[in-house]
Amino acid sequence: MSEESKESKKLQRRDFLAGLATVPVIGLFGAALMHQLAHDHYRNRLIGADLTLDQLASADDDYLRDLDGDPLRLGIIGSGSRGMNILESLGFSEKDAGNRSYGDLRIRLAGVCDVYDQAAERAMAVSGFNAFSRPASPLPKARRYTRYQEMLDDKEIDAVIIATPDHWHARMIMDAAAAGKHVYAEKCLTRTIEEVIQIKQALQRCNIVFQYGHQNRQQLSFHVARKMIAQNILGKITLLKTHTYRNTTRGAFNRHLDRKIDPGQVDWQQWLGDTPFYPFSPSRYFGWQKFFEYSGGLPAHMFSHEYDAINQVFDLGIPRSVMAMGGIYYWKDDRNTPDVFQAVFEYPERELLLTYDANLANTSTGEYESGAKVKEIVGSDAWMKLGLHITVFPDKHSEKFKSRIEQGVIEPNAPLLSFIPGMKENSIQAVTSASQKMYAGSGLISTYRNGKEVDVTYLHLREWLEGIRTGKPVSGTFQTAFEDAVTCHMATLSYREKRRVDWDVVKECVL
Amino acid sequence: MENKEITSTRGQLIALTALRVLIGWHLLYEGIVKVLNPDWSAAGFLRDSGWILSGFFHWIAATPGVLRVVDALNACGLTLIGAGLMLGLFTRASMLAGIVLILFYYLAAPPLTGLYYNFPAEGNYLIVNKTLLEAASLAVLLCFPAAARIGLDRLFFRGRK
Repeated sequence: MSEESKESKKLQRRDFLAGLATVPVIGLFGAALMHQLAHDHYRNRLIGADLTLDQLASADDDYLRDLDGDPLRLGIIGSGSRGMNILESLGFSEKDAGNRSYGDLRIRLAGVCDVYDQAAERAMAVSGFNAFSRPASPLPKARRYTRYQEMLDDKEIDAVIIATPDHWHARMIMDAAAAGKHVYAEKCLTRTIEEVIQIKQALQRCNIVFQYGHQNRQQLSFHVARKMIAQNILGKITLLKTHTYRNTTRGAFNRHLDRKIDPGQVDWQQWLGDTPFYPFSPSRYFGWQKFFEYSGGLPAHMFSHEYDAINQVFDLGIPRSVMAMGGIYYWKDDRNTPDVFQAVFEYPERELLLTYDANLANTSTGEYESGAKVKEIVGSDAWMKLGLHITVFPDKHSEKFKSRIEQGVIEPNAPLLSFIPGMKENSIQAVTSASQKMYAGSGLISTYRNGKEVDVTYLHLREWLEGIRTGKPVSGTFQTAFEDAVTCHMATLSYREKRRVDWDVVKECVL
Repeated sequence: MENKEITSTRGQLIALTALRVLIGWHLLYEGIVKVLNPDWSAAGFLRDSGWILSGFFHWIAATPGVLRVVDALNACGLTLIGAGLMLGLFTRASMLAGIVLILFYYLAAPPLTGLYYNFPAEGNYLIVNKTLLEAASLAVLLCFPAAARIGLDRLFFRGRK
């Protein structure tokens, strides 16, 4: 063998060794990966078996289906900012936006009633087109009514949406029901408990479909939380904590500062209704939530959302008693409702307390998570952060998880389970990897349902419209509205009368 | 003619190869975790983006079709780049692709003064973070031919030398 070929062979061997030198690392990596996956699988299986997670998730694509039947003719009473949001959710727009693909609701906006000319014209302008109707074609423009009674007398209207300030709700709901119009009523149901009782009696005499405008009834995370709670994942639940923390001018209901309004365009006398006379005030008109004359203040306007979410999960009903305190400590403006508020709601039969704390000058608590305030459900084995997502944290002294904690399968006080609506298969998962824990802990993953974000207000209105057409039950029943309004007003009453307020279940009145 | 090949000591060769394999290990695991988790999405990270490119990253997060493509590219890209670095296969291309990908992560959420993220960092950073260091390490490897000398490329592309 020549020296050259010897050298060449040596080179080949060196190339071969150098070429494969790092391949064993792949083997090492594979072994470490398998060990990690086996650990995750074991952990998932154990936690899953403990909690029977796979039965909880569900997905629903029904919102894509077109509704059947003749077009329903809707009227809207109150086309301010919330009213316009509702019309937008129903698909009404000035021209074909062409970018949404929800099912056709088979509706027409036939009537608009608002005391403010500009608000009424804005609603009439969007009545000419519906983004979800198939085939897409221009619709007749809505008629304007200056008094809601005229709309209710009109046989061309089948159903009404009430989105006025709260002090008008009771009369409008009762009159609409008496006129045989189906009702979608925004929260809060009324301004007082007496009005709630009056509506209850009025609706018993009528056969209409009533939907309470808490659109978060459609929130998948609340449905799943209900199932999780039913499975006793958290142990004995003794405390439910809800919050409203805001720190902006608009968040404090000073909504007139950046708007211009011509008093000549407003039927102010009609807007005031049966409340004491007050000269026209943009602050009252746009920020009526600040005044007890027109609303129940923070409980009725903000706690109502929190309560209804909790009530969906727990069927709490009306508390035995409520105590509340608060004051106007920050916003030294014309308001007479508190900007700092705390209330405790007692449920002795359920052996738990519901608490609510609100502050309009700070945002430290109950952080927003993709648009929803986070509530905390506290149990003896674990606690749950409930927003649009769900995260469950095990308690380090849990009896249920004691052995799993000792085995190292469950890490105390780190996220244990997470549910993110809209992720593939809407799955509930044991939280395993470090990055998953960070995501779950910070509530960052986007909310999609089968790849699409779905508007809950659309779903809620759709449920109402389907209920009218087919008799299918709605989720925002009057009973839920009744419980919501009474609970909120008990807190307001406690604050205003500086006393503990008890509820008499039999007589349906406060003591 | 001057021989331009840079000779390396055994220590340099081992250190550069080890650095390459370690970065490969990290990227490969990040990629495989994403490939194995059907629910994984970059949406949350992208939505949290700050600085001048945030508009672009927010747009990706808000556009389901684009997001799906980005998620798939991300998971597969990390896996392939990681495997490439570890095995020394398509080594220089893997280094280059790794730098680009990692710089995207950096640019999506750079730790600059005045920028705050919901997503918690696992350390304290000012302008320089571990992401940037990993990209810089790959850039160093790219500049040293010795970093690509050990690996499958040596077998497959021997004839082209």
